[in-house]
Amino acid sequence: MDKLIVGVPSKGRLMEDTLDLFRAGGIAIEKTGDARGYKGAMAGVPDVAVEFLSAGEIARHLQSGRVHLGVTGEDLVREQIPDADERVDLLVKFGFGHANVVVAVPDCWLDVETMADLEEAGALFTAEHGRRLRIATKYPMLTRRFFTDKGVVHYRTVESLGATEGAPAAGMAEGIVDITSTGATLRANGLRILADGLILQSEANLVAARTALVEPRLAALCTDIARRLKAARDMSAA
Amino acid sequence: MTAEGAKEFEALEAQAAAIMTLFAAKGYVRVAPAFIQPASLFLDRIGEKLRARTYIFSDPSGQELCLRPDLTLPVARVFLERGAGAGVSKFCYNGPAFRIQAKPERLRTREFRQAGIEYYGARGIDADLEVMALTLDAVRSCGVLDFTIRVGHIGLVRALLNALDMPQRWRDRLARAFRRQAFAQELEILSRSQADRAPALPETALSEDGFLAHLDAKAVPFIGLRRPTEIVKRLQHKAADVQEPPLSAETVRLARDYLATRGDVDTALDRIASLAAEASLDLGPVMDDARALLDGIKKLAGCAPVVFEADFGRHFEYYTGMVFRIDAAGVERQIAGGGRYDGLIHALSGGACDVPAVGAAIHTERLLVAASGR
Repeated sequence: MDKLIVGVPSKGRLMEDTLDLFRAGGIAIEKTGDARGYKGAMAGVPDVAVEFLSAGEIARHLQSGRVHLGVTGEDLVREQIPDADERVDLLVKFGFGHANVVVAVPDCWLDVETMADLEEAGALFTAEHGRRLRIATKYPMLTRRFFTDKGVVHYRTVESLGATEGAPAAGMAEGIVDITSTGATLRANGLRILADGLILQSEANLVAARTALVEPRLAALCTDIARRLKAARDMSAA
Repeated sequence: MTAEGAKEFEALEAQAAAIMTLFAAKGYVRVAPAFIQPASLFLDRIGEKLRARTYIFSDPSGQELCLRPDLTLPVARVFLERGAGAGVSKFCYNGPAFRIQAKPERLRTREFRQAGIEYYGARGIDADLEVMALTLDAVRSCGVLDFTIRVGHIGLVRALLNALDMPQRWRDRLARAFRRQAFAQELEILSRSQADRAPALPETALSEDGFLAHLDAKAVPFIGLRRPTEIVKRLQHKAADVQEPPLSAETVRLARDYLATRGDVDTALDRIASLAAEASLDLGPVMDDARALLDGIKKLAGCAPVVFEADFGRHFEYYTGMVFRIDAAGVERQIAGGGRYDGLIHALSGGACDVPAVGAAIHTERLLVAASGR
């Protein structure tokens, strides 16, 4: 019989918080086999196979349907699954793993306070410099959607896989789209978040691959896990 | 349709050969730009919107490359590489272009062949009409006679904005909004007080020295490639906007009415002329040029309908004058399109070369569908 494949984060604070929540919900996850391996099981729920994966991989596998249920950030879901609203359901917000995806520009750009300012500054920059403003980000999809909504067209994204907030000071970009929790790192790098530059308030979520959950038994299992985690979250919040 | 079947392949090849013969007979020199182009060519010129539709990849050295999504820019590059001769240059091409399609369909394929012409170095409407005539010849030579021509005119939009009473920077804002189809919203914004644009800064920071001193005092590091002059200039403009009276209701109504103008060429132009007359606006020589151009297009069109649409012609920001598209009966998507883009070579050459250009491209698979009626 097919098992429900559940993807959970494989490292760091996000993994620890996730495992704590599952434990509190009475469905503790234990690694099976080698402790350095990436397979696990859920206590008392034999029809589940747990896979430890990076949060990014979980989003990707939810898209393809290879993972039925996963724990990952909404930022990654929205970035990696273009038609997320049709493909997945965000079942439970976990109340941890908070991160805001924001647009930030050099603080010295005193004339640029809003996205509308960025639109005009971008157009003038293109005319002046013969090329577009560069926005460093690992979220090109989120950036494109948000900038289009706000009417900002005179820019291009450049891929940045780490230390994005350092890109403008290093001359690799003019602005960034990145996650921040307190904004302190941005400030330390001479950047400022635009007044209407909040793209997404993300947190860890229990996410179901809608298209993969056609079998009623797996769907019911999924609902049960979601109910337990929701209860555990409410308990810990209270 | 992709020409994978022997029959489609042969039909497409024969059609392309006929079109290229026609272009060559009018003095257009065939060029064959590279399929693989530097991605920055498109990203810096057309922008991020294109990334969603373009196959972009890196080679091992890290250079970002792309499969050309269109041939106008690659052909313009060829023109510049050949030395951008004085006088006129006329190029034609036929070859594949590549675009990402979320849901590929028969008339929207990832890979399609474009045949087209580019006419560099001539400003007047004679060149516009030559390009239009040749495009129509090509369409007709393939047996497609039942089509509609839709025409817009970016020069008219600019002339209208220039004639209206407002600061130049507001005209530029509206022109940009027009291109991204947000003209009405921008009009609305400018019809309100701009008080919220006031920079929260001491007046002394509105000069270059004052600005740098202000940054120093606040311990804000100066980073990024925008120069202090660029930042200060915008600060001054924002401060000036606050003093500016909002657009009058009359101006807003006039601009809206202009944008809503569409229909038969004569009626539409008469409507624009009367709008301008009512407001005592002088649209200058552009109006006469537009009339002569549209008259010429009507003659070329014969019995095919020509529709003027004032709000048509957005998207590609280098368009400066005529824009057009041709739709064939029974084919959902446009079979050909083109226009005048006098700003393209200037931008592409980094300002080194200011050559006007007008051109058109035919989506040859769609033309074949229209021709075969399938």
